[in-house]
This record gives sequence, structure tokens and C-alpha cells, in this order.
Amino acid sequence: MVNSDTANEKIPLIELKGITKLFPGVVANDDVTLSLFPGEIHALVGENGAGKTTLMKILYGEYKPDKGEILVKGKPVRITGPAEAVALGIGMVHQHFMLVPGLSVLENIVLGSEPVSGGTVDAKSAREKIEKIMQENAMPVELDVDVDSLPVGLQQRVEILKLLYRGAETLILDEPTAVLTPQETEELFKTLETLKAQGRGIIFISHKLDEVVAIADRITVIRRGKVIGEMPVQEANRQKIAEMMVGKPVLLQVPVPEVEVGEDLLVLKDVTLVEGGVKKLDGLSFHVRAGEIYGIAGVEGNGQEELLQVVSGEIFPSSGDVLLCSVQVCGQRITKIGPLGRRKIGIGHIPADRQKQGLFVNMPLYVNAAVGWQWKDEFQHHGIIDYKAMREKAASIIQQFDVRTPSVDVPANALSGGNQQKFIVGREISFDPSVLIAAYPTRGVDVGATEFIYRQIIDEKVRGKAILLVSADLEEILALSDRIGVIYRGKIIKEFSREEATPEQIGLYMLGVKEE
Amino acid sequence: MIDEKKQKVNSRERWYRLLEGISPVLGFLFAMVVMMIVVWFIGESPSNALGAIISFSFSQAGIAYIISQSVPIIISGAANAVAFQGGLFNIGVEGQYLFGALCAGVAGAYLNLPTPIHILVVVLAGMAGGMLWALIPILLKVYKGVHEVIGTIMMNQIASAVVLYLVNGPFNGVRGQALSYNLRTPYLKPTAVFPSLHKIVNSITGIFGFKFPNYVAVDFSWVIAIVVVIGLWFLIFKSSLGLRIRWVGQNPSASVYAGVDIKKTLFTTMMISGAIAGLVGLQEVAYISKFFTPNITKGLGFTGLAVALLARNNPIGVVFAGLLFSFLTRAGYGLQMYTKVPNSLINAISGIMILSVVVFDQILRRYVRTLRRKEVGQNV
Repeated sequence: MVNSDTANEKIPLIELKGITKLFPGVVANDDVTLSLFPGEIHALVGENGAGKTTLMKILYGEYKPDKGEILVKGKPVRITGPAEAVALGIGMVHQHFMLVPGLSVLENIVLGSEPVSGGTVDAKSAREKIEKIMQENAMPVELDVDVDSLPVGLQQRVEILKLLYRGAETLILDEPTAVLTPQETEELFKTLETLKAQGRGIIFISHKLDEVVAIADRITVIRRGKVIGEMPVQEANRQKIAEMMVGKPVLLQVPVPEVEVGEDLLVLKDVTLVEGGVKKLDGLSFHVRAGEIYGIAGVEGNGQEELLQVVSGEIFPSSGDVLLCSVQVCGQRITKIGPLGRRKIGIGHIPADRQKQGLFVNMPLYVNAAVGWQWKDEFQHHGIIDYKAMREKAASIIQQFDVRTPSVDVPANALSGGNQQKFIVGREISFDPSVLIAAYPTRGVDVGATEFIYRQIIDEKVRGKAILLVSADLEEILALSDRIGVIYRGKIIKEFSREEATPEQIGLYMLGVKEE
Repeated sequence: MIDEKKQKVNSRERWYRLLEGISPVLGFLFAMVVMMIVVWFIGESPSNALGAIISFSFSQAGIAYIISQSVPIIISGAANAVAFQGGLFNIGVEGQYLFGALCAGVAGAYLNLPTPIHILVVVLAGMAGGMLWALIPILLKVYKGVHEVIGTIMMNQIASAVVLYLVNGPFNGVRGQALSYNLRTPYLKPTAVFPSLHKIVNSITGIFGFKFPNYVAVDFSWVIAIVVVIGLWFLIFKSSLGLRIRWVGQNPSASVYAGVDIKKTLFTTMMISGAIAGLVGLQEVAYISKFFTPNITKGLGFTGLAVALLARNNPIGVVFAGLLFSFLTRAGYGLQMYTKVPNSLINAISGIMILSVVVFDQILRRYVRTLRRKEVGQNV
């Protein structure tokens, strides 16, 4: 037998050889080969639906591959479930955390593999073990607080601690930075470097090319289930990776033309919202002018959701005012007008969650062409629906906004996420609102569709509309906005113009490090 | 060329819809197979059992009974279906029809009105009673967040007690008579009794050589059922209120996004459901027995639940599912009379049928979704 320490230098922790996974009608993974060495961060990049998640689910035992083999430390294995994967030293942090709210950090970490003595949980030895792990990896977290009370960055740290507690040598991180601030991302990267130095292997899935270039040692690009290329990070740059991902050069920086701004179309004055005794919005004010994109930057959970509800009319503020200027009215207080009334006087709304809010996913596409606009005379006569008009509307949206669908009769959930989003964007724009709320307009959408949606939003700006852009993606905010407001604890604490905005500056305000 | 492609897409889409819609048929066939296995297990020959069912159910009288007795089942199915469409679980149809039937019986017995108006008033009284019994649970749900299942179950219990009290007290039609088992309201005035439709119906079915016997109820409640089914189909699939009801039923947060007033829509849905439920007992009260009694046929509300489920909440489907359940009841009697299979087996069979419909439904829907995804993939 070879000494295991020296063997580790050469033998990969994980080897996937010729993995093929077929779903009915779709080749999710096509002859994919991938390896991960100890002490390596291997980035897996690709568009939505390229097959990254499927591949990782195969490695984690959630799917069974149709072809190919998996080797762990040189030995072929069959992984039939996550428990087996964990036993083989493979751990995964999902995009949506798997934490139990109401349980403490400690309880969350040990849950499922608690040390037991005499039929009860041995909290003391668990605590010792976790504290040792935290110290070794410089990952401090308070153990006795409710996991729910932690900021997202620390919750993610708890997820990683869970894996280390179970002795994971291979860590799979699925879009770990999607929910983090720039500062939290930096913290995460430090942690990853430490883990790497200890000889662990990390598979890092991401959309954010800057980060991939910054942290990874090797990069594998997947497109349509196939490995398009694998390269050491030294040979990679953003442009090259983006080209490999989509197969054609993509303008990630969409040109934003200068437009002469007009009067205030949407004004929020000192808006406060108290829910269950908690101030969700706290004297929030801003205004969006005609021909302007106003971006809201902030860490998730600082009042974005409530702000969107207040602007769309889904909830009314406890105090303060919302004013609208549109073709129909100007300077009108719309504070106490609901979503229906607001649409009628000219507010369009691309919702934060297309599946939950924007579409009735089990209903045909043509019905979805009228969601929010069902009251329009074109869609109903004396309380009777005109389905023909809805079909025509749907057909025109599909044609105008390049939505790929076999017909208008299929249910909305037959479309891919990007096409669903294009359909919603098209619907809202086609009714020609004066003010357009764009909430997370490209979340979970591939690069091609993202660029298309950016162009649509910019076109609206050129047409003199006022656009309120809320997004978790700082890059998106910076790429599109004329002015940027940073939301922190329910307040706009700082406004930037396009010229003065830098990611670092915005990040400091997002975290509340700086305040005006 | 484009037309050809479009046609192909459309024919494929029709095939998908057929696949999605076929689960009740598969469920029924599966349940029949299970029934035959059980019958064989009991020691009866399946062909005997089948023969008994067929000869008892598909005689002229059998068919007449099945159609006539499907009327209250269909109405109850419709009441449940509209609630389900709106995302409500109206388990209170039972109590609503009990109270509605009482109101109809009282309106028919105590009011003095000329005949067509009196009949209309009886119908409206039934609907009002059903709505009244649906009112409290839906108010509790909309304003206090009490789940409608809890509210309606409670109201079912209350209905039994209240009805018993009212018929014992103010609306007692047998005061002074000792026996409580024939407790009832006074007889309906002749002006309030539903007219028989034997002549009209038989003149039509007679063309095909089919006559409804006199002892089978062919009456105005048939018209009510037809109006309810067609009206509900129109409401759900053609009107904008119906679209809002379906939206709220399928996705409340998207409904909020679309500007639909959820509370108002839930309230309206429940009122429609309650009004229809109030009509379930009218055939019995206003035609068959001509009085209301607390011993009126029970359980139609729960049968209607199963009917709506089987019909996947489609009003037209409710007609077929209602006929099927009426047939099952008849088949149960047939088995009981001519074989050694107990009648209660039929109850188990309806249960198996509903379960298997739900399972087939899920399997087929998933399969169709995969097919659709694949198709979208090809087009892109």
C-alpha cells in the first residue's frame, strides 16, 4: 500500500467519467468527464439548464446516471443517495439553504448525526467538536442563537460547518454567492482558501464570471449538457468564458443611451410600513423621473420585498405617500389604491417571482397574456371573457418578444424559465405603462435572455418611461441604472449617480458600514 | 407549410389534453378490476356478479332509477366543484343542503302563493338556506383565517341539531302524534309541489322506445340540475368572475399580483357553492315526499365531494361522474340481491376508484408535462 498522504497528491478526490444522463427527450448530461484534486477549487460554469445541477445531483446521489462511472479517490463507487455521498466524504450546499428555523446553530449542525450518549444527545462533545472545526478553519459562528436570526452569509457558513462536521472532503457549492453582499462574498472566499489549503476539494458553481476567475484554480464550461472546455484559471478571462458558455460573443455590457430626463413619474415620500410591530420600511423616500432607470441595491431582506408591495399596491403603507404621474393622472396620491387600480392608471410590474406571482403555470399561455390586465375592455365584454382576444395578445407577445413555445395553448410551465420571463416582460411592456417596476428581471435567466431583457428595459427608458429596478445582482444594477438608491433596514440611506457608483462604495452602504 | 406545422401542433395538443383527461376512465376500469378480484375472493363468480349488476342496472327501470337518482348527486357535485375551483374545500355541503331543504320545505308549507311563483320561492328559499349555512364559515375564513374545513364541519353538526329543533318546535307538522320517527314539517301546499315531467320526457325518450315508469321521479328538479350544470360551466369557463375564481383557486399570490380581490372572490365562490348546495334536497322535499323531515337522505354532500373529484371539478364532468355514482349505488343493490357479495363492497370500490383516479391523474399529468418540455426543447 502506498502512503495515503503521497497518494492524495496524484489521485483525484472525485472523478466523473463519461457521465450521461437522459431525461425523457432531453440529454441533460452528455459524456461529461470531470475531475477534482485535493486542494483545488474547480469552477463549473454554464447557462441555466446547461446541466450543472444535474451533474452535481448525480455526484450527490440524487440522480442515477444512465452511463458513465464515478470514482472516489480512485475507487469506482455507486452512489445511491445523499447519505452514501456524505459517507464518501462528499457534501453539498444547496442554493436554497437546508436549515431548520427555530433550531439553534448547534442543533442545525449536528442534526442527523448527533453524538449520542445514554440515549440522549451529547451536546457537550458536539460543541467541542464544532468549536474545534470553527477554530481550525477560522469560521466563527455563535452556536446558541436561532439559526433564523443570522444574516445570510453566516447561515451559509453554518451550511459549510454542517459538511465539515460530517467530515466532508469534497464540497459542492451551488451558486454560493447569489445571496451574498460583496463583503460577505470576500469572507466566503477566505473560508474557501482555508479549506483548500487543508487539502479539501471544492466544486464551485456560479454564474458570476468575475468571481470564478478570482477564486477558481480550474474552470470547466458546460453547454447543453456537454463539456465545452476545461482550462486552468491562468488561461481564462471573462470574455472567453462567456463566449464558451453561450457559443457566441455576448454583450454583457449593454450600451445605455443618454436620455433627457423629464418630470417625476413615481414619487415615494417618507413611506413607513409597520408589520407585526416591526418597521419594515422606515421613512423611505425616492423619486423616479421619465426616461430614467432607478436601481435599488441592497442585501436581501432589507425591505425590498415590502417596497415592491407598496409600489405595486399590494399593501398600503402605515404612513407616507406614493404619488404617480402618468398619461391618465399626474401628481395623484395613489397611496391607497390597490394593484388593479394602479395598473389602470399606468403602472406595469415585472414581479420578483415569475412562477409564484407572474404566471398561472398550469393555465394556457393565452390566459397568462392577460394576467393583471384582465379588466381591459379588449379581454371582456359584459363580464364574458374574450378568449380570442387573449390568444391574439399572446401571439403578439410571443412574436414581438421572441418567446419560444410550440403554441399559445400550452400551459405556462411548459416553457423554460427564460422564455417565461421574456413572456412576462413582454406582457407588461406591451400594455404601455408609464411606470415599470422591474423586480429581479433576470433572476435565474440565461445570458442570452438576460441581454434581451436588458434591451427591452432600456428601450422603455428611451420611450420616456420611469423604471424602478430592484435586483440582488449588483452588476445588473450598475449596468442599467441612471441613479442607484441603497436600501438598508427599510431606508434609502444613500443615492449614487451612475458616474459616482462603484461596487465597493455601494457594498459598504449595503452593509450599513457607512451611513449618511 | 406553416399551416401544416400548426396543425401538427394542434393535433398533438389535443392528444395531450385527451391524455390529461382520461384518468377518470382508467380509474373506473381499475376499480372494476379490483372489484372483480374481491368478488372472486369472496367466493362468488365474477361473471355472476357482473351479470347481476348488468341485469339490475341496465333494465329499463334500472336506467330510469340511475338517471333520476343522479339528480341530487349531480347538484351536490356541482356545489363541491365550484368550491374546489376557487380553492375552497366545502365539506359543509351536507349541512347546507340539510338547512336549505328545511327552508324550502317551510316556504312550501307555510306560504300562500300562486303556483309558478310559489315553486320559484321554494327554490330560492333552498338556495338562501344553503347560503346562510355557508356564510359563517366563509366569514370566519376571510376575516379571521379559520380554515373552511373546520368551519363547515362545525356547521354540519349545528345544522343537524338546529333542524331537529325547528321541526320539533315551530315547524312541526305532526304535533300531538306520539311517534318521533315520522317527525316532519306540514305537507307542502299543492302550489309549491314540483310538477312532474313524465309526459314531456317520455314523449322525447319514447322515440327511442324508452319510458320512465311512474314510480321514478321525473320532475322539475331535473330542470334545476340542468340549469345548474350549464350555468356553472358558463360561469367557470366563460365569465370573468369564473376566471378570477380559478385564479384564486390555483395561485393566490399571482391573483394578488393580478389585482384580484381575494377575500371578495373567496366569499363569492362560497356563496355560489352554498346556493347550489341548498338545491340538493329539493327533489326529495318538493316532489317525492312533499314535506321536509330531519330523516331526509344523508351523505349526498360527501358523495358530491367524490363526484367533483372524479370530474376534476368540471361541471360537464360532474354529470357523468354523478351518473356513475348513481349507477354504483344501483349496482350495490344488485349485488346484494342476486349474489352473496355485500352491498358495502360498493363503498370500498368508490374509494378505490377515487384513489386510483388521483394517482392516474398525477402520472398522466407528469408524463404530458415531460412530453411538452421535450417538444419545447425541439422547437428551440
